Amino acid sequence: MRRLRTLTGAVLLAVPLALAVFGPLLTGEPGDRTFPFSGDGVLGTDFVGRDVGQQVLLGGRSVVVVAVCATLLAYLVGVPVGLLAAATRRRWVDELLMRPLDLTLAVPSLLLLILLAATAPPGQLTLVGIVALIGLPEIARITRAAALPLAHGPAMEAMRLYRETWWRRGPGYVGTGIRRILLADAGVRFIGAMYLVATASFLGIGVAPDAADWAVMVDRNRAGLFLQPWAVAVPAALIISLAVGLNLVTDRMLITHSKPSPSPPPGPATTGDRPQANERLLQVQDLAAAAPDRALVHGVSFSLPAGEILAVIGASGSGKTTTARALLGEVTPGVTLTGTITLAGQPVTTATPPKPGTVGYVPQQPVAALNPVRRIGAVLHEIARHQAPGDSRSTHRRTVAAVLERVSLPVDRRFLRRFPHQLSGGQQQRLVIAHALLAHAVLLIADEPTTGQDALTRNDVARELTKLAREGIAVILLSHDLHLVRAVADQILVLHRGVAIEYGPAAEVLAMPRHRDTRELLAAPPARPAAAVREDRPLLQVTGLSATHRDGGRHRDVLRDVSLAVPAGQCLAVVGRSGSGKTTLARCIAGLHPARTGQVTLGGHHLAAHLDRRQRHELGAIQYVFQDARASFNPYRSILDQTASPARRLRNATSEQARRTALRLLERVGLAEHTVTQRPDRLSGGELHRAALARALASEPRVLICDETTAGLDSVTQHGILTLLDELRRSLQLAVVVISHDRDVVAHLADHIVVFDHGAVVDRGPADALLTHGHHLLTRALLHTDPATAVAPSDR
Amino acid sequence: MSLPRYAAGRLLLGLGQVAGITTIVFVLTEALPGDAAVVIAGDHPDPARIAAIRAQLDLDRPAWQRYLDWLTDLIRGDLGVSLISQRPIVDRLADSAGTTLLLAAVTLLVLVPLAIALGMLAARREGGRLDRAVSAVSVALYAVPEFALAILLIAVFGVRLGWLPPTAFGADLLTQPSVLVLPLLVLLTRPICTISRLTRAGMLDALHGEYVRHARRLGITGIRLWLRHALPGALAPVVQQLARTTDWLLGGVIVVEAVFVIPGLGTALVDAVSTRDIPTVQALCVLVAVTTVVVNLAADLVAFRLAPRIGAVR
Repeated sequence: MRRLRTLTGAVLLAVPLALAVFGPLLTGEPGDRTFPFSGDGVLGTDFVGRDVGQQVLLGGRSVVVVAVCATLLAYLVGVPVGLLAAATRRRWVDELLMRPLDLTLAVPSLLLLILLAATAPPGQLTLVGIVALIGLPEIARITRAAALPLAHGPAMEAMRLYRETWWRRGPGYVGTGIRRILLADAGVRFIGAMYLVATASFLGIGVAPDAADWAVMVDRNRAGLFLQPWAVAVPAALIISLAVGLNLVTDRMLITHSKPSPSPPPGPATTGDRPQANERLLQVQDLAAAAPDRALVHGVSFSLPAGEILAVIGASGSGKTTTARALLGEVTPGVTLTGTITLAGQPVTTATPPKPGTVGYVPQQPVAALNPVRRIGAVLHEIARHQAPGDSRSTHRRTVAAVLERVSLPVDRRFLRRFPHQLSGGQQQRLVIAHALLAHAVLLIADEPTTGQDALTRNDVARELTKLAREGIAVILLSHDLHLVRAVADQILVLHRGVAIEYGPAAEVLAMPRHRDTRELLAAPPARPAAAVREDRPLLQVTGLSATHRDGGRHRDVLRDVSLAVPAGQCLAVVGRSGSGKTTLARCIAGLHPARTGQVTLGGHHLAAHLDRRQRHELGAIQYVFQDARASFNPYRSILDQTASPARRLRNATSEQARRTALRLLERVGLAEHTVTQRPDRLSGGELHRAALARALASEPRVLICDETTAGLDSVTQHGILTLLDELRRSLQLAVVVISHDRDVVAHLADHIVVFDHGAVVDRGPADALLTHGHHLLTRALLHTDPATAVAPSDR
Repeated sequence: MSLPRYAAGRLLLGLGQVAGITTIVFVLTEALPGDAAVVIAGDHPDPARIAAIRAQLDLDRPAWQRYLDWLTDLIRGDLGVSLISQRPIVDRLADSAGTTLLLAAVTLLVLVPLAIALGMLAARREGGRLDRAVSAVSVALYAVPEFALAILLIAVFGVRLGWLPPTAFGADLLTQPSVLVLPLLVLLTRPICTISRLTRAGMLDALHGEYVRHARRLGITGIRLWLRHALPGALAPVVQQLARTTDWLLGGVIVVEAVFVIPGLGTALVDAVSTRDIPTVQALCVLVAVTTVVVNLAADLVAFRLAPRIGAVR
């Protein structure tokens, strides 16, 4: 179908284009003029008696040539303008470039064309200039929008940290990144230019009144439409054919092929444990899900009574979400389900999903389940009305209020008039649960409810789920957060590559895991080796650091008078809630965020606030490992190449030396040569985290800053990286600053801990002391293991 | 960001745009090469006429003074006097504005329900026969110049078949609605393509989205799910595209009025440009620009209400 469409487009486009290009070559000398609108010649004569056939052959070139020139000119000017606006870090330059362009976008293009043409001397050059001028703002805007995330993203910051050459940052990275977007868009721009040129010619702008031009022919000959329709219809048809053909052909370029989402790896065929109970709310027997080429879930069986919490744990890709969605009667297209699911005595299949409302599902991103454009109160009332259509409005209001109180959400009118995006992540989660409660759900499925959340939120979630279970709702919890699982689960099901390798009461599974993979999943992070060599003169010292963020037009304080010190070979952990200024501190040390006041010193030597003003050896001495490893790599160059660059740029190594250094480091973090010669998109998340570490080490730094380096990784991968980091620190005598809200990470790595809240240090001390008996309320809440005893201090 | 705050910011931006546009219009018309009066007088420069134009345009005074005068007059609603007919421009515009407004209003009235319905129908069965047909046609007809389409339609339906009047010359649009059919068809072509495609894409996005699935799990189905849960999310880009459509309509109207001989603002503009009636050109441009700014402002406010998140990213 699509092929046919493109083919039709190509044919439609070929005819007028061929005429435009070769037409003028085919005609001879203009013949004698005869009577206007007569039938002489193949297509008759025009309004001054010229042969229409010959005019048609001559008249295509001007439209095409002017449109091509105008599009090229617009790109020549628009792309640099857009790039400059995106690349500049000075806001006024951006404003100065983009505001006038916005202004011209606010005027209809045809009007602008007429206005400009009325004042400029007529001629084809003018027309080219005007059409280019009209197309330019849109091109500049698209370029800027495409280049902006590239010019300020983690990959660019990583390159700036090792002072990559301008050529590789600009054309090499940004240029490659925007090329595809601009190419896909070029067709549309050309169509727009052609439309303007043809219409302008028709309105008599920019061309001589008797020029051989299809559009002019249409205009001039339409007076004789009744006498000699060919003189009008043929050029009009050619213009339409050109436009339609272009539309169909360029539409092809605009299609972005969506990649199929990566599927979990295939699982070996073994059978899971048998369930023992019978009178249960939910019964799952031999559940299997298969994609056309492999099995996703195989032979999973479990059962769950009302009021209990089942935790399904497993590494990412182990089939947790597939299992959960099967309970909803949903599958990804192309996946087939077998086995039996019985919910409250009713079979559940894809054809007969559970009775609406009985199963509530809280996705990992709860905001995705909330309609972004409707007020939350309206939706709540709609669900209440839907459940009990006969009841009065005030009954509904009471029902809604009761449910909101059950999930500890406010019930006042102002809250109900909010939109989902105005709620915090925790509130969104509770709102989705409230929807399920309103619909009288008997089973609630929570998918990774604590991923990326700090310890305080985790405690709230734990309380919430326990409360729901106590009220008689069966809860299925998909998680790789073992603290949460330990705190709430009644039963545990362990999935490994789609197979249930362990299933039983929580206490049993946690106490005596039978399967090796379960032990690995449940294992506490490997014990920390004995304390490293102590050296008390601080290597990195931060004194009186303050920094601000620009928020709209105002400056907001993010760091207030922060001082800290890290000796060589030691690790400082910076912990705190999200938004407490941890990352900004790290960025200030690396020079990525200019500090307002305060000093960063390295070995007694002051460092400039901005990284571009630091010396090469200073840059090399402090390296930063970004939170999002994938985003911090240039997707168009190989990992090896990017790991070698810091050595080349900051230590003046030759390419061969740099390459050897990079290979050695990559091997040290456990990446083989055939893996690292590939581009980043071929590597897994865990591999990229390792590669990011290797790249940071390539300039032989003395200070390494790791920002949430293990967030979002499953526990096995996480342990691997932590062990590696600890080993590197000791063997290379690195001072490490770790930003984290994960207790495991902190406990494993830190020698010292500082606790951050609202941009200031609220507690600090040796790791052992703070981990076991911190005095500050926040320290206890963030770092102590037992969620039940931790009480979070109020947020303000 | 709350709606009133967004509206206030957006209004300021709109005022800035109008101020900027009036400046552009004035500077462009001032930028006539050489002595403006001589250029305006045209091919047969008659000293008396040049002098008259010079006097009328106050060309002897500095440009910024004239600009300020022109602006104050604009604010008071005085658009000046036509160089050609010597009548106040306001009268001339009032004569033709009705026709253009009628044309634009009828187009929008047909366009919005038709395009949204087409988009929703196409989204009903993704990849179905109707979907493929609608998308093929809407791709093909996206940027076909209106004049060529108009001429072909006239040649076929007006001349060859004789079903519809080929032009609206001398006809009263209200008593003889058949003259509007062809202009309407031409004006609808382009916007209907984009809007139905946007509606379709938005609906498909919403229907595959987690929040519609969530609503379905809660037991909300059928027409209610479509209209109350899926459609609002799909509409925000559509509304903003509608504002852009109004730009196109103003451009398209110029061409359509020229082809079908309809005495509206477009004809007035083309006439004014060809006779170099500078004050009329300036007045028309300001009028159109202000309309565009107002329409875009309104659309942004509606879109903000439909998709409150866009306020956050701007």
